[in-house]
Amino acid sequence: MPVIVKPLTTLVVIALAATLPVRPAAAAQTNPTVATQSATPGTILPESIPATESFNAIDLPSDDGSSILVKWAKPANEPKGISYVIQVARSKADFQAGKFVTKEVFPSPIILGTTKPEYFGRGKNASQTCFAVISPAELFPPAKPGPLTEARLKELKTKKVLTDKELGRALAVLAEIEQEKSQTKPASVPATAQAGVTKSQTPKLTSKQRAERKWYARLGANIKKLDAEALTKERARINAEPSFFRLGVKLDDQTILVARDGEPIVVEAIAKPNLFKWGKLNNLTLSLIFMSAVITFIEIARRKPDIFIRKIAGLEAIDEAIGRATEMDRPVMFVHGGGSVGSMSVIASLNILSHVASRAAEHDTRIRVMNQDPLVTAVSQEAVQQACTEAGRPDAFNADDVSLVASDQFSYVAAVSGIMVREQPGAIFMLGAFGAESLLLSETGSSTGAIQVAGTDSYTQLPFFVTTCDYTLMGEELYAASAYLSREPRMLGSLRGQDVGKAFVMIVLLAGTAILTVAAAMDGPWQWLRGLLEATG
Amino acid sequence: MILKRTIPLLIVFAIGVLAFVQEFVPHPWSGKLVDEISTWFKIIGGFAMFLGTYSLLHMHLARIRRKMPSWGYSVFVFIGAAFMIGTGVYNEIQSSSQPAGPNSPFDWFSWGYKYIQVPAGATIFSILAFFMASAAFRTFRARNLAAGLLLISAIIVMLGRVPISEPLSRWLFFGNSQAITQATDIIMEYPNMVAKRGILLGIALGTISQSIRILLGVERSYMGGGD
Repeated sequence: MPVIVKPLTTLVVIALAATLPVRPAAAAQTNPTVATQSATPGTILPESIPATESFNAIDLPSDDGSSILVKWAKPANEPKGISYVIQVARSKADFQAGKFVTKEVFPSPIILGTTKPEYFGRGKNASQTCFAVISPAELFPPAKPGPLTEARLKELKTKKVLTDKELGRALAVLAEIEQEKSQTKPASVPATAQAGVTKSQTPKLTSKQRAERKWYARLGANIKKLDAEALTKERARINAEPSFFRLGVKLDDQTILVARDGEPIVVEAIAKPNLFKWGKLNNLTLSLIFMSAVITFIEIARRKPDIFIRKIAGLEAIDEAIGRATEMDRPVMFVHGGGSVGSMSVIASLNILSHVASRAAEHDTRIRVMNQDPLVTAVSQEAVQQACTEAGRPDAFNADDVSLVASDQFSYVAAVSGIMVREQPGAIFMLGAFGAESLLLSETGSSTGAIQVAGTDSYTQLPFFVTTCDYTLMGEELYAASAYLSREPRMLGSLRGQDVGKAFVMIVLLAGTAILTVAAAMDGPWQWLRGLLEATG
Repeated sequence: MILKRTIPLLIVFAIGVLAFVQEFVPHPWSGKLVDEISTWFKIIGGFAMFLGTYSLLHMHLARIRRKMPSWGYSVFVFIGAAFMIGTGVYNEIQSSSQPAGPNSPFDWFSWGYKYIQVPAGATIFSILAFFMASAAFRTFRARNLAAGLLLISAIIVMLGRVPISEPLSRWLFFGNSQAITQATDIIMEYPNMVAKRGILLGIALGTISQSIRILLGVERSYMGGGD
């Protein structure tokens, strides 16, 4: 983690910009660590000034290189109405020239280090450290390029963004547009009259002119994109250059800068892109531990395939439901819900779809898959077709049975409900990501008398499914379905790894609860137990 | 086999690992990578939209051609699609030739969305209230101890969420107007939260497990068959 700090103790005092005349305050006179900017003598006491050595600026850890962390120790006395001012400049000389930006920070628990344990840890110092995050590019924003004018277009030609031919075309269209603008009536004309006049004045464009206007709009869009990229680069450049900071305390109209020997302290820092988000170290560690457990058990399962997995009623019922639909000579309906193909629950449901489609093909039962997302439709068609082929029934696949029904949430509900009522399926599988449509669909399905098996990881929708469906797969059961149905040892091994992870989490929760309970019940020497859980560095 | 299995699995592995790593890397390159991948995703999604539209129209065309039961509804799919596509394309042509203003032609596309699509969606959504009542009625029948506990909890929570709880609570609990609200809060914050977090923990671990299965190619059934 790069830390670039240069407290500059030998700087000449900038006494203040012309707009802020210096008047030695009472506090400044008695305290060599302050320099004052004030119109009138204030009441800031020496103990209200942050300690000189505590004022510091460093690159903000774990960020993309856009910010700097300025920190200082909370003073012993923070009188009511006091605020901290951070003056930011692009060079030391800019302070003297008065070319700096001031950011005001008000005392509150939000600016204390305790709110950012990833930067300041959880020790006692955190509660005594104040901080502010400064983005130099926001305080000194690069100039935004102006609209497309003749001069700008010529400048783009000079930069070789446009060719001679493109410049000629663009200037011609621009001239036409300017001419049209000059012909429009001023805003002071009454609206009714304006509408009437505008109608007669709006020129009819020829097809060639329309084509040129379209080309010009595309050119504008491309230039806008280039401008945005240039602005991003410029912001990065500004952030990568050194920034200089001064800290002060403000009360009413008096500002006292943190100083040494009467000289305001200037610290310097550069914002640099970081390679790791340290605040997510615990997430990474736990993820790697769980991944290792899963991979280990997959390997163990490969050698010893006899793994016991508890029965999941909802998955046991899949074959029963398909069998019932076959006996009743009714179709099986598979509803994905509203998730996209990137949703874990939809991926899990696609795994189950393969199994259901395979069984339906074996039983010569029609399967209808209702999709809301075009990508899920494409993947579902592939999965069903492959399943039918592997079941020895390629003819059982009908692309119209695995179709996009609607891409809007409630249009989807209306369409699927209608199909349920018209076709009276024997079994309905509602597996995937569901929102408000869960109860609408499951109640309609329930009214048709079909066996309903539902499953989702949207825990807010689970109560609706539990209420209206015969079987419900809750959260992780949905993810486990594919392994459970296939009985493939390596997949079952991953489930065992998942269970070990769950046991680990349960032990940690129980141990943490016990430790905190003991620490809370017994004061004094037992408090170290509490610290054990809280201290992170 | 290489084209159908090996290459897709390699792509899944590479993209999966990159997506995992970028979550922990704040460097701008990481953000650029995500932007790039999401652009690819959008391009693929654009093609998939064509496939989805084709799939939808083909299904309804087959229904009309075979005169299947209620085939008349399928005609409305074509009418709706033609109306929205037609007005959308017309708007696009108009907007490129002249800017929007008081003299702009009537926007049939927005009209169709605002006065047909949105009210129809709201109508479907409103049915939820009735379905919720019927589902609640089925659930709250005290057939056994668990259902009885659920019934009692539900009554407390429902009462705690409505204004009548205060006078009722004052009358039932010797002047304590907040008793039912407090009981509601206890039910929501403890038993309800415990169950919710239990499910969430299971989901988080299940997600890791499933991701590993997919990344390592152990899970392939999403590619069609291959249990």
